[in-house]
Amino acid sequence: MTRYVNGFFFTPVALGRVAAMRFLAGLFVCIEWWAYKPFIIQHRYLPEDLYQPLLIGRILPIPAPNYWIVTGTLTVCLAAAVPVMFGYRPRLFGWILFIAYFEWMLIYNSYGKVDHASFGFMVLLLVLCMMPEARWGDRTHRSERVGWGFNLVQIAVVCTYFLSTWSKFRYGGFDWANSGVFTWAIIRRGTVFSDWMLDFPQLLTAAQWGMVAFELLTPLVLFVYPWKRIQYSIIAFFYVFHVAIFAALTISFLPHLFAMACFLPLERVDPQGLMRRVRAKRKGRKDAREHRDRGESDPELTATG
Amino acid sequence: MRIAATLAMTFALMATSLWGTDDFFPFAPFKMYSHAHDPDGWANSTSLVLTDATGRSFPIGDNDTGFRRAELEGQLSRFREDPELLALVAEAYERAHPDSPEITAAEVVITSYELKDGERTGAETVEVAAAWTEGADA
Repeated sequence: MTRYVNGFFFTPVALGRVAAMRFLAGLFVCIEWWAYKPFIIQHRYLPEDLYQPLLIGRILPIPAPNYWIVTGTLTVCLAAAVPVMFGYRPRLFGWILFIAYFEWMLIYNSYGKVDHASFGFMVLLLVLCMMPEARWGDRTHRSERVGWGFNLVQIAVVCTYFLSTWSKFRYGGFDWANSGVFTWAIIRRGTVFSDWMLDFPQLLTAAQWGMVAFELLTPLVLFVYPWKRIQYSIIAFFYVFHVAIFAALTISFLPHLFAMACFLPLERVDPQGLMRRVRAKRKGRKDAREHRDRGESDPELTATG
Repeated sequence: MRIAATLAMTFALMATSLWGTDDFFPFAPFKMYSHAHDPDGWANSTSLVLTDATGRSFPIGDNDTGFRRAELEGQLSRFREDPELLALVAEAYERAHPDSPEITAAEVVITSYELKDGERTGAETVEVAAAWTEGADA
């Protein structure tokens, strides 16, 4: 039992995964502002009167965003994301990235609507700052601190599902699953994959029950940690779930999906090793060919040599 | 110590999920799509329609001004009370589109669809929740 609890928090994780997650985190920051949430940068045009600071924006002396604050924050985010991606001074740039990205999230969420897909990603940025330097594909060096950090991200990811059910009960009541919420969502943002469902309200109600059951069961993925194969299958199922939601409503929770990748054994991915092997193979084949060519052209030489 | 940090984060999330509000960001309740919608009620969809100096009216999307539909809905009560705020949105649009004709009017339009047993009956209502015209108050 003690071993199980201890393992839950501190199972050592290979450093290779840190390098991979740094790459993914930086990559997401580079993609998000133009492809995923382009309206955040558009907030630079909004007059200050539309700014509705959150509690943290009122406690800390954070100025209302204007053109230069928004543009500047993004510039710092991108400038810090690139070295983090490639593991150059990853802790220093990690902290800069974390702070700049946090301000970016405040700009994102301070105009009357708070989105909830980024919590796991922000935790990821934070724990990456506390992890040692790492190389891709490093499976020999393992660290408990890394294991703890990714566990924290994993808990945040699971809370995003599990606690959203609490919210459904709190704001929607226990009748949420019988209500017309999916109909409402599809009317607002349906696609060709989901519009037909409006004609089958029972199906949507069933889907709502399925959603509640799914979200309440998500903590299992944390507790099955000793059985990696089961854990990976559950994570694969989560990804499929998000693909389905995206097809139906074009809501993708992309930062959440990036954060969730830390469940996966990314230390097995080693681009440099792969390159080396491909190069060696090509070289090997070339050598063999040269050898053979030489052999065919001058059999005596081969025989004597 | 590290276990304590993990537990602290988890409990903070749980607590704000039960009692907190969005204001406690980043520890806000995860309330995406958490509101129940009556299958025998009305489902509504808000849009923001601008009119420019040439008289053309057009609905704008989330990326045109950076002021998203969800943000408009979040601040809707402010707009109902003070439609003059729409001038700010028009201003943002003009800044984002410096080459487009000037915006002279804006309105928030809420279209509601009636639902019966979760199906659309085909009945719709259109409400103008707030309207602003340049210079109308002067």
